[in-house]
Amino acid sequence: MVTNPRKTPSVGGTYQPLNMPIPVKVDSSPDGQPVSVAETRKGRSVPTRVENIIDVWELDDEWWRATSIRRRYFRLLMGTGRVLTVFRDLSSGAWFRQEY
Amino acid sequence: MSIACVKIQHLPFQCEVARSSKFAGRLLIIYHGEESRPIVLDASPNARVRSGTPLVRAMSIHPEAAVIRADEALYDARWQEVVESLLDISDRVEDAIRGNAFVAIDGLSELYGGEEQIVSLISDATSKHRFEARIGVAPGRFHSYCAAVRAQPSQPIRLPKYRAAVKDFIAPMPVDLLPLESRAIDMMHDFALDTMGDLAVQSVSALQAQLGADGRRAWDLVNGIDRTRLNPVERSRTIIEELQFPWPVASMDALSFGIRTLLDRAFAGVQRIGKSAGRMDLQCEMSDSERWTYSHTFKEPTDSAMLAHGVVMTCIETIVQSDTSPIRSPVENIDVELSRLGPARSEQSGMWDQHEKGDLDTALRQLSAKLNSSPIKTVVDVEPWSRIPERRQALAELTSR
Repeated sequence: MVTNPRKTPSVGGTYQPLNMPIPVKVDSSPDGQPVSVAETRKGRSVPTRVENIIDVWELDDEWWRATSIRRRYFRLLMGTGRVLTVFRDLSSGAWFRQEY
Repeated sequence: MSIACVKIQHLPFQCEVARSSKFAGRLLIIYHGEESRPIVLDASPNARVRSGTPLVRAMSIHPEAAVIRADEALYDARWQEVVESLLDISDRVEDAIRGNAFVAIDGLSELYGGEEQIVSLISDATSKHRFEARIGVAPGRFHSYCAAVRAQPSQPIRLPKYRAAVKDFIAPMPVDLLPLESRAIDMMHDFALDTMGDLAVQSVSALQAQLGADGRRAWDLVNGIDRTRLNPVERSRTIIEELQFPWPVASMDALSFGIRTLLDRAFAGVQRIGKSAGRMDLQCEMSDSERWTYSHTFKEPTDSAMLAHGVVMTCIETIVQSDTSPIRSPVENIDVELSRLGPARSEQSGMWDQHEKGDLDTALRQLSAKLNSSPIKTVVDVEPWSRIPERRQALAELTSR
């Protein structure tokens, strides 16, 4: 796109999405189920055991685009009693935490 | 003082020929005014029809001529392009009327290497817009105009700086060129003072006795004295803002929200400098690299983002329903350019103002002016139904309305 020399200087994006996925360290079983999730306590990353998988669902969207969105979400009951939602990006294999 | 007058004769005609070659070499009559009583705005130079002639009379003289209604917006826009180009040469340009401009060129010789070079630049500035301009240079505003009237396209006339030479040059020219009321000109003709030379030999007291202040002014002008100062135009400013979506948006709600956010920012900039925008150019860039451009000239200049948003969305909602909609792919980027900035328009406020909102607006305006962006954000629904969580809500700058 041709840059316009008379363009008014502007600062930053005005459109900041909320609830972006946050990368998280997850240990998983050979069949892809999360076993433990690293949680931050007192500034330290501590692996926390997954007590139970409450729900599993998949999201397959924008398959018509060059980079489609393919995720497998898990709602987890953690050993600490906390409920956490994580997903695995099925394209890259990376794990993320995100409220759904 | 040294002033160059740039005179584009038959500007509407030249615009129409540039737009459609079918008028080249043809007799063309351009009219304007009420449909019940149209009058001639301009005509082909060889038609010899004066501006202001009733169209009926012009058509009876040239029944074979092509007759079209004037596109004043086009002529104004083309003329503004010329004025902008002249402003690139000198910062003192007076936009007298459409087709006539005065450029102060004194003090620029050092910069451009002489008066001849400046005149050449002015000539190039008009010819690059495909206009044939007549250029006259003289020590005074009026005398430069007289020189331009006598000049031929691409053959500028430069008058010497001596009063006597200027006086001799304009002596044979008709008094009708003097910038006086028609009553004064008629009176001169009644006294058989038809040329400026006839007027110059009169005594100043005799002219003053008959015409008052106009008589004195006329005597000065015909004797080579012109103390009229230029009234330079301010270079037109534009405000351009851009919004890049974090992801390509395909839903109407998300697009509407993005456009509203962008217009809020752009109009906040317009309000900060105390102006209103007369024109809006919006461009959407889509994920397939196609672009859709929308231009709108407001009936009255506005500083209302809400009004502009309504205009854009009405257009988009109409076009997306058609099978040949130009917006076929998700939109990635939007640009808006607000131009023709004019004086701010005042609006009658309600009797019961919302003071709290007014205070918030004031605070936001002050913060935005200080930081160049609004530091206060608001959460807005973008695609609340989306299956992808990060696309449901976003933080947007809270701007004053």
